Amino acid sequence: MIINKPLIAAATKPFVLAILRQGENYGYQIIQKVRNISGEEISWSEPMLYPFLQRMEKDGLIASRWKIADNKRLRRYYRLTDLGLAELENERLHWFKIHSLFRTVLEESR
Amino acid sequence: MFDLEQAIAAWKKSMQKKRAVQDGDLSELEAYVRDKVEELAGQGLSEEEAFTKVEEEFHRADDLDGDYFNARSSRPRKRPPWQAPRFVPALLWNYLKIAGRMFRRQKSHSTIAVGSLALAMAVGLVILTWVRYEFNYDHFHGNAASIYRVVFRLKRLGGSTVFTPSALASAIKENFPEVQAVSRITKSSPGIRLESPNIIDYKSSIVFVEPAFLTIFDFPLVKGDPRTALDMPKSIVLTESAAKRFFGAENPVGKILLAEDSRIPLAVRGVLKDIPETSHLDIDLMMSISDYSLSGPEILKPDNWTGVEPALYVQLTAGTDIVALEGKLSRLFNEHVPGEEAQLSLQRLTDIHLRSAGISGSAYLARPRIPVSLGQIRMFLLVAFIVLVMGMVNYVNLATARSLKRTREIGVRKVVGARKSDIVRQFLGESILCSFIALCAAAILAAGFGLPLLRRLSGLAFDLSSLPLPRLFLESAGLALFVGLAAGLYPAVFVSKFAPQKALKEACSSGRPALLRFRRALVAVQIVCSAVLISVISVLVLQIRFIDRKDLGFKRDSLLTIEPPIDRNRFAAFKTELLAHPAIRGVTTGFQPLIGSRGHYIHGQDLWWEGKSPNALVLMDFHFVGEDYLKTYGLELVAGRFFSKNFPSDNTNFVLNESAVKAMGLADPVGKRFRALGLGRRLTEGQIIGVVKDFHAATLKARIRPMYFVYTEGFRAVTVQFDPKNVAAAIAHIEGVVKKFAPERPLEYEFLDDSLRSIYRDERLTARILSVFGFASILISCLGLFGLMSLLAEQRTKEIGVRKVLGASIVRIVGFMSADFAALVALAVTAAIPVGYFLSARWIGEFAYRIRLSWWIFAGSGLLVILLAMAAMGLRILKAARANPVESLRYE
Repeated sequence: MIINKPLIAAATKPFVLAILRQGENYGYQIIQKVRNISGEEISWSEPMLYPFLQRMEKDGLIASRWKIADNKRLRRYYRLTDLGLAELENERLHWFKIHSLFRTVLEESR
Repeated sequence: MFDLEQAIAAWKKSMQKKRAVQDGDLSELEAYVRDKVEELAGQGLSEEEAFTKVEEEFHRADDLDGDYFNARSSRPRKRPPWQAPRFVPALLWNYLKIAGRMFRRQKSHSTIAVGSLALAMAVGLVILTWVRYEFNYDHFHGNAASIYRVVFRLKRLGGSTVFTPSALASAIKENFPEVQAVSRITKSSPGIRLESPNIIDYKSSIVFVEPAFLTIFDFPLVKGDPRTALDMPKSIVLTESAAKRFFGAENPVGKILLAEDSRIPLAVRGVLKDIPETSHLDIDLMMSISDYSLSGPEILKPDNWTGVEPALYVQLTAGTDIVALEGKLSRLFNEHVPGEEAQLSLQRLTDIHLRSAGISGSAYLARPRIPVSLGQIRMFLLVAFIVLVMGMVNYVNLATARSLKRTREIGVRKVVGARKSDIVRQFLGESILCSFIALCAAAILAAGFGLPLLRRLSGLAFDLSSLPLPRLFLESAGLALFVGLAAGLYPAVFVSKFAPQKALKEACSSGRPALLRFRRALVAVQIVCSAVLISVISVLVLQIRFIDRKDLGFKRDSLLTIEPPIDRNRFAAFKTELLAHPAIRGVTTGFQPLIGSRGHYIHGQDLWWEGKSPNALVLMDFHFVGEDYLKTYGLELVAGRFFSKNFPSDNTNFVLNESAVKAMGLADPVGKRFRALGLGRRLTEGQIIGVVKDFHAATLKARIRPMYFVYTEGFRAVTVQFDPKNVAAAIAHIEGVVKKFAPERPLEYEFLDDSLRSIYRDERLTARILSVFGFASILISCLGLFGLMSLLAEQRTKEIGVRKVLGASIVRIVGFMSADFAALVALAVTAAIPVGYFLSARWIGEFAYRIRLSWWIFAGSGLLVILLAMAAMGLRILKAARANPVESLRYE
């Protein structure tokens, strides 16, 4: 399905934070995990994640460092900061709140 | 054979072009590409297919560059600064940036160029708005295209008038089916007394119309029914302001207004929306014409073909043959009035406001405001055009001169591959940009300064809501575009011709003779325009002074008029008391004939004199005057005597003026019998007892009209002659006496001089407005000269430095630098003189009595312009001449 861009953009932040809570990841790993979760369902442009990660880093939610992988590739690894952790909790609350409100409204309109 | 490394290398190269993608990002993205290709290859795709898919991903990434930029900037913007807005082509964006840079670098020259353009445009905008406004009169009526006014013209006399015979209206309605509706309309003299519970108003004026009036014209009723409002006799309709005046905030419908001292009750049956400013008709109070007997006689009887009084408006069906109808109307009149021949014509409603110059009586139904003529409007348009041209000329001159400084830039551009058309486009773009900036500045200048000034000068409210503003915007934008193109074309083409090598090597001096000649021609044009404007203005101002001072044949500076509500019986006592004070030198019944003269009569049974041939026809004005009129006004008798109370027959006698006698062709008028409208507007027959020397009763634009006087004492109009050295005392005394005799009304007086001046309000307005233009144009010229001299001086700085070192004095330097332009200025001024003369002569030709156009007026104007031009030039050159030669020689 094609979900509108702003909604995807809004959802990307909590996704990335959640994924990084599990541990350090580099860009492509994050892309893969998101793809696994959403399947082929949602279409989005993969390279656009990278500037997004830069933004999150500038905002202090994540931190990065370079590592040379075994196959001599330069990879940038991202991890969650404390601020990011708090932000993740925030996002979680927000989304659940929206979700429950939405459900209530839908049920009432039935 | 697909080479992944090569493909990736190529991809990297294209990525590097993006300005926000940093090295680290690129590495990261490269890693992504490799990982993805690996994964896809693992799923079975070939390297080439995998890479293609990855490229697709990147294409789907809308604006990676912008995203990276936003990711790092503190204020996430949607568009990085180097990117053009979506709807602007990239090259244009680049041109605009360069134009902006140019601007900032050459602030003073740019400001002068744009400033003078803005000034010129502001003038143009104000004028255009005004002209629009004037042409928009009466357009708000739905039926405007089919409404006409009947214009009446007696063949014998040759003068057109709006006053028509009363019988015409019904005759038209009966005989001509193409006439849908007809309405006579007339107005009472001002000064009707109306009383409401709130106030008593002594100056009311009522317009009398027929029922069809409200269907022909779009004057909506906010209260009451237009179909029945004037059905019943003695009904009156008020406008909103009149309603407020008489009844405050209450609903006036159903209430009573008492008219005249005889207490006639008028029932208010409706409220008219206030008449908009752009209407040639002005209405305050309205009644049915069948009630006109309130203040007038049988002149409105439906079978009266010989007395002219009401104006007549008709509404025609679409497609009516106007010329044919006019012929039919004329024939209709001629049949009913044998022995008379008249020409009736139909004037379009929308033409009335501006094209009623030769039609007498046109102003009496109208709102008092400065009259504006088509000729005036044409003149203003011409002036606006001239000023606009001057502003453009400035710009062209300055842009061309400025462009010489940019030869290096042009050279570089050409070398890196710009074509001539690109250069032209760039410069055109700059000039259009300047033009639009000038337009914005002009709009602000016009709205904030020009229009209020115009409002103040003209006394008009200029309700802009009636104007089609979107159209105005579009036209202004179009104007700016045109100006930008026109003004920028020459410099653009000129500059694009620079040969690159030459351009890069040297900064061209002002050398090329062709260029210099063109620039000089432009300067000359500006000087000519300024000189012409100044001389025309001078003539205007002089004519106005002439008007103000001309001996009109009576004492104009020591008279004032009052309207005390004193009845005849007490008038003698009133007069005596007034005269008791030494500051009062004379009191008489009778107004200065300028005000309220309205008595045109056609021959028929009405006007007659002894020895009159049956075909003779004269139109005369008439006035009620007292026996002291001659003395008070200081008029001269050329034959016979004036009225006197010692002669009881004087109540039915007449005094004429010279023009009347001439028009009647009487050799020896005194003693001859004469019959005309007299007291009570009744036909009276009596003797001519005297002839008065002609005096100017009306505007100096027309010849003196024939008039006759009727004797009465105690008419409501009174003129007082006072000692001009003792004005305050005189007025105080008058006030006291008036209060004694008529305490309920405050004294209102008007100085004769003021009312005389007010006739020429439009000439004064023209003079003032033209002065503003003249000032603007001189300013523009001087700005242009100043800017030009600036550039010239800069270019020749080295030369000046060398000359100084070689011993030339400042005076000599100033001298030689201004030499060529000085000669040019003198030549231009000389050329301007005949043009100025021609224009002034045309304008002044409207006046029957005018000043002489002597040569010194034009010489003086020319001299003034020369002086100003030299001053502008000299200042700049002086600054250059004073510069330290050491620095000048270092100047590069």
